[in-house]
Amino acid sequence: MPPQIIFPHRLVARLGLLACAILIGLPSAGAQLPVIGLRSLSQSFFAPGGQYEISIAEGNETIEVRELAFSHPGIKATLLDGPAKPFETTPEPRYGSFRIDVAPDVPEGRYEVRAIGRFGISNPRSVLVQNETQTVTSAGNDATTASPLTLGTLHWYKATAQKRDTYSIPFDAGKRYALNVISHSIDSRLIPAISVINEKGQTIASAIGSDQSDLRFVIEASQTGPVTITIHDALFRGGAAFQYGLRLTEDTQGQRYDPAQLANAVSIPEGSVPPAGVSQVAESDAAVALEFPAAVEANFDSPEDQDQYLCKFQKGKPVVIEVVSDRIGQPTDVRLLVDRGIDDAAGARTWQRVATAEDSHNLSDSVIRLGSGDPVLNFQPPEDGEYRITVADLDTGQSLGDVQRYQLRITPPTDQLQLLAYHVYPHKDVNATRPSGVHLPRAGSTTFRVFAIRNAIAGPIKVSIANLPAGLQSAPAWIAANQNQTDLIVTASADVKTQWAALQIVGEINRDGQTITREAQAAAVVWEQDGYRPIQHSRLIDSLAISSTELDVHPITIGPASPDPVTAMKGTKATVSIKLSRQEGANQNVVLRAKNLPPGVTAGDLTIAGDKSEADWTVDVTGNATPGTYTFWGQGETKVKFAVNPQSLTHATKSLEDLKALRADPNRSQDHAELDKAIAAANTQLEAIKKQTAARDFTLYVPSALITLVIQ
Amino acid sequence: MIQFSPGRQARLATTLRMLVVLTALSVWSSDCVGQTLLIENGAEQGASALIGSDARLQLLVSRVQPSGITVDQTRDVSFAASPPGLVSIDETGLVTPLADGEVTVTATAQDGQQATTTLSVSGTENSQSVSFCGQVVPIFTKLGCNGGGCHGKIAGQNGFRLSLLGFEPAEDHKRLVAESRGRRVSLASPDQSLLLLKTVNAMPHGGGARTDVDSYEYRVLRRWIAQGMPYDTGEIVQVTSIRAYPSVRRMVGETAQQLSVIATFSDGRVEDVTRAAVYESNDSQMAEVSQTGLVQTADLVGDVAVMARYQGHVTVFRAEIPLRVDAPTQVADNSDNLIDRFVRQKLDSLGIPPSPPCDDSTFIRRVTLDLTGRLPTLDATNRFLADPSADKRGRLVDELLDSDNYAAFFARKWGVILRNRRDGGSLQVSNMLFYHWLQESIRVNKPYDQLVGQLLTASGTVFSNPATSWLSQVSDQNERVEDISQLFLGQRIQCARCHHHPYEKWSQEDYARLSAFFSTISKKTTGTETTFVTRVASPTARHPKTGQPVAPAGLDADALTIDATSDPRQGLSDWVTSPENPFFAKALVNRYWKHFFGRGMVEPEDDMRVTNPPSNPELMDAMATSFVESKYDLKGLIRLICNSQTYAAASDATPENIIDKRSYSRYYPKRMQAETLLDSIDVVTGATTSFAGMPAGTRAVELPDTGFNSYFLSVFGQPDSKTACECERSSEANLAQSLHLLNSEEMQKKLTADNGRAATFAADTSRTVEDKIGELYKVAFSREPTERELKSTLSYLGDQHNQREPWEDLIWALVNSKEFLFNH
Repeated sequence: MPPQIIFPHRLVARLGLLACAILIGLPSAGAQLPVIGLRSLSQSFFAPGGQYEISIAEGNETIEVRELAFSHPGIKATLLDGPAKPFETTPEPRYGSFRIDVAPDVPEGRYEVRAIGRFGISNPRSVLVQNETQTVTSAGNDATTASPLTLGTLHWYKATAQKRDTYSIPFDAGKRYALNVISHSIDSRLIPAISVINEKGQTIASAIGSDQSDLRFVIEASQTGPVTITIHDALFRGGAAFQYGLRLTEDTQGQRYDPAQLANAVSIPEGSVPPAGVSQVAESDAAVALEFPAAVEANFDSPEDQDQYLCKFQKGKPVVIEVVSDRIGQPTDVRLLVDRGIDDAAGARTWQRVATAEDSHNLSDSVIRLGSGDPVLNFQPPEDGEYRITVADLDTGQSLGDVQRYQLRITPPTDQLQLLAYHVYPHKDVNATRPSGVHLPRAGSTTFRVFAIRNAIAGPIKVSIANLPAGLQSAPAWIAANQNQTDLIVTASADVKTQWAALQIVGEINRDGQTITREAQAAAVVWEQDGYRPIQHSRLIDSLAISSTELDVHPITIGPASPDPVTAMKGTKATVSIKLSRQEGANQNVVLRAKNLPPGVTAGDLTIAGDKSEADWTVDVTGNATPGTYTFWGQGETKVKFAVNPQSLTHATKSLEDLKALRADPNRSQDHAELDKAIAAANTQLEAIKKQTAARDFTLYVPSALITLVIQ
Repeated sequence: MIQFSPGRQARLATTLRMLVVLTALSVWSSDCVGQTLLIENGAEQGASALIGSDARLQLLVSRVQPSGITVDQTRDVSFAASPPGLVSIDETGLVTPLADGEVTVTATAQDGQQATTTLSVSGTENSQSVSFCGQVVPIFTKLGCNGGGCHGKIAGQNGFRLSLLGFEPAEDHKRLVAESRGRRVSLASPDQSLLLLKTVNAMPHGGGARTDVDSYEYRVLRRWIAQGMPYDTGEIVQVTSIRAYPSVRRMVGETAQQLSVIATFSDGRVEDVTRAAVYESNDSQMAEVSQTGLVQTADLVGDVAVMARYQGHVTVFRAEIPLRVDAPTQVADNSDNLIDRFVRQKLDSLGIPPSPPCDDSTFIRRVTLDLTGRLPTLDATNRFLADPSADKRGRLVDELLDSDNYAAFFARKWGVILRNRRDGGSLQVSNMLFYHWLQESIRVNKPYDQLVGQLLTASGTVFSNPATSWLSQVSDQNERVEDISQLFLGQRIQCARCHHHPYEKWSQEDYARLSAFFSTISKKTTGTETTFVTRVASPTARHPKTGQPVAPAGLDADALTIDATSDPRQGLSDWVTSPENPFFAKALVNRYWKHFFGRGMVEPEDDMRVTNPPSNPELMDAMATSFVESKYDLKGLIRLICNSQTYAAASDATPENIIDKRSYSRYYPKRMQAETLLDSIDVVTGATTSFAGMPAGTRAVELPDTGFNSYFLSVFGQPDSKTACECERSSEANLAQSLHLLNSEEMQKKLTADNGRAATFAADTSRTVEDKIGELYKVAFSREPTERELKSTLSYLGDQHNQREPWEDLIWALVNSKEFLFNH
């Protein structure tokens, strides 16, 4: 290949580009100490019995990733070895690269994986195990270069920015084909846009899905002949985070993956289906008579479709009328109307509107948005008699499917407690939240938020972590009777070990002398907000996880001077003594902002000077406060100097010293030329690591330990 | 070859037409003897009573010619009244009462022919009180005092404000009588009233003299002041309708026609209000109209409409000015295509012959550009030109309608006026989804009523229902009302948001009722998705004057009672898309007509008013009916248009039809729109244009929204989609465009692209120069070069045909030619 001449201006531009790339690659002046965040693996589709080589494709702080933890024990990851360093025999680990072995008996389905590296355990990402999975090595960009598809096989690939991937397959006239694009199930950012094009270059079907569900649509072939299928991200984005699986089948009946698996099903109470189960209801123009309790499943067949049901209720016997649809992944927004039947003297029936219901269970804060458009109506029948229940879908769109499924459940009030927990990203601006792991250095602390769906259960809920590993502590938190959420703080001890573990958050409530215990479901932010989506994308995950490290010490810890509860009367002020523990580099002011304060209680921001380690925080318990036991905490904002991964400098220094020692060995004179080269390279690397590990400025958002407030 | 400046033909046509008119007039002079003279109004129109001394009546005398033309004789006859002393009649035919009684009016022509009518006069003996609402306010309108440019504007003028066009007489009365310390009107000395002094410019008045002290208007105003400036009491008599007489007339160029305007009042009274009405011509080049309602046609051929407005009501007089008045109307074309039938009828009526059909090259280029926004491919052109079959044009239309390019092009067209806009930045899901929804709707030929219905009733998230993107883009309720009126009904009701529409009957209440349909839309966020739903509430809007809630109603439709849990927009959709809706089908037909013919039957295409009638009403009606009967089949409508001989007519004018501007005697050339022109230049030069975020090879007509930064598209008039008006797209030529095409860096890059056509031709030694030139002409013009063109081109290339530069020059010359820049 002839040498390339690079013109000066191009050179400058390229150098600029290079500089940008380098800057992007550097850890930014962070808002927290480094914590691993997994964005995507190089491959998210596997087959039972398969063996693969994969790597971390995108992530934050993914250095020295040595382990992948899958949610199924039959999927194992082995860290790959790379070549040994010069003049060493032991292979160097290829951090971030793994051989994946999927046991033949791993059932098809969705699983989660987390990466474990120098900076802890990451957030989970989904992978799919599926028979007949095939990797696409190169998708074409037009009909002539289209990659062939095999019916029934799951072909996986990743979208490329500003390109359309093209596939081909023959269609038989009269046959119906189902096209599945799996992207949401594997946490892909892809918004699939797919078109089927005939031999004449005419589109015969086209659809755009969403990033809230996988795309599936059915097409009937009108002609026999090859068709071209194009797929791309609706915004023409691409990269490893835009993987997809494409599967074409003649099976147009069933859906291969249960959409409920990933849907916002957190607020579907267990046992809300009557013992008789759910019965199917055929489409009918007439109202369908139901017998209480009842659970029926039906469809919205058209945008105008409204289904009606008749059911007899008794005055004084409350019922719950609930629709389950949005929560199982259906693109619906259901409205319930309840009318009471009134017969006049002549026996003529009229209907009087007695209740309407739409959204329910708003399980949301500024980050986690697991609210539901499904209506849940706690209905008190005003009279004995027959009632008409109308179920209508306010979402008249059909782009995500012509038919939408729903269940109508009419049951006695349930008294089950449900909890949901997620890890709070440490930042004062919730918009900065991104997918991130949980990683505690020695004396570090972090926050978990817990929501409660009470389902008619009143009373305070004590929330705690059941299985904290050694070296981690967390005081119980309270969700008072007038609250639906609280925060837990987990703190690492000064001698905590390097470890990771799954967390189990539980809630306890006393009901009629009995303690009811519930385990919280887990949720996490899947994708941060970006230019097109103004709200973070979150979902339910299999479990929460936490990691700690003995390699780093957190620069500052904050907490009440005493673990004892602070007691205050309504209409008074209470003082909380705050104590800071500062390490080297943490000598700046700390601003403490109250979090999770109970209703009617306020506390101004508290600034603690850089040369102080104690302060009093005034909490104003107004007359509007409700007596009870509450927990709150403070988020301390401060700037620190912190050296990231100084151990890498130690390792690099030792490698250089080892080489120098070899160079000094008179028996290795024949290797001097190569040793000199290796020493020069090691020197260069050492200098680079010195820069990387030099203490840098970090703005930290540090949760204090919980403060218990008893209002009397 | 297209001819754009056929000056010789124009002169010939003018001469011919003048000869024809002169012949016609001479025929009339000799033939008029013996034709019946007729007084057309008065008793004939039920307005024969003159009640009170302020009454006036405009006589209208006419005579029918053998050619069928009815000629106005009003100013050519002498009038006499019997018994005398009851009325006076001036030379213009204006009758004013003098005393009570029955009077016979006789009009006598120069040839001695006479016509009579009987009028009754009453109420002249008693001094009648002047009606502020019925007499004073119309004078303000007549004199232009309460116009939008004067005291009628929202801030008034020099401290004096009147309601626009007098729609709020009570407020006007208060401002006149009570404001400004009562100086505007003086009961003690009416002639010293500011109102009168300013009106005749006896005191400095920015508007100058609006009338004089001897005028009827001055007398009425003075008398009203002298009577104590009363406001009407009791039940105020309202005007219920007005009509112009005649309503339609064929006229010879450079002749006149007196109009008579008759008003019907709520008490049943019928009165001549000719002199009180305000007039306006929709084409002042074609005809002008005086303040007295005298229409004067110019030396042109075609149609013109004259609007008469009185007391918030409007009526229209339509004049048709044919080229030939001596030629009897020919038997209409018997074509199966209704467009050809009605266009030929119109042309026959005007005496204008159509141009002959265009050739195949012109047709394939024209229809491909109009249907897909791109030039025909070389292969398609070769196949089409070589195809000897008779039905090939129809098949070509079908083929283009089945192509993805058709769907993309029309999705772009609709996306622009449905405001699918983006303020730069990265691509947005809502834009992409909305564009895809439009494209799919057009591809599958979704019936137009369904498409509109889905848009009007859109609920849900943008993913499940991309039509909700329109609700996001047009977030203001008023703009929603105005957009749907303009887009789907061709009614611009923006005026009625603040005041009664000046040229239509739409009131603020009509606006409020339409607005009520959108009153229950709610935007919520469930999870991470923004959803549009309808709240449980009774749909209402506040009456702008009374503040009372009004129920939703379509324009000119009954109010609807809608259950609080229902979506009122469904009622709106049902009304809008109903076959009985008088606006819906016509608005679409006119919009598409303009797309293909370059000029709407109504112009602007989304401003369909009684006062802005179509150039061919019968054609408009027939096409709208056909569209409804086809169940709103958009492709069917396009087939109807593109398969018509009217559409396939040559754009070359004949000496006789060159004067035609709106009767479709030929195809009117239109400049390619910005996106099409850019793509076409890319095709001819072999270059490509890249658009941020879109795949390579994306054409400008395929862009999903208007947020792409392109100087070319901007300078050639790509709209910004800030409004629903097609008028945002500019098709005008300007110097910046010429300079950009002639000498811009962008054009230079395209011409000199390494993989461009010039480079390819220069490097290709396997083909003859003639072959390459032929390809170039076919790509650019869909035709072979003429012998002369070939010769001059070969001469220019000379022995440098294996170098890029001469090819670049040749391509540059072709893309800068009018033949290239226009669809013709």
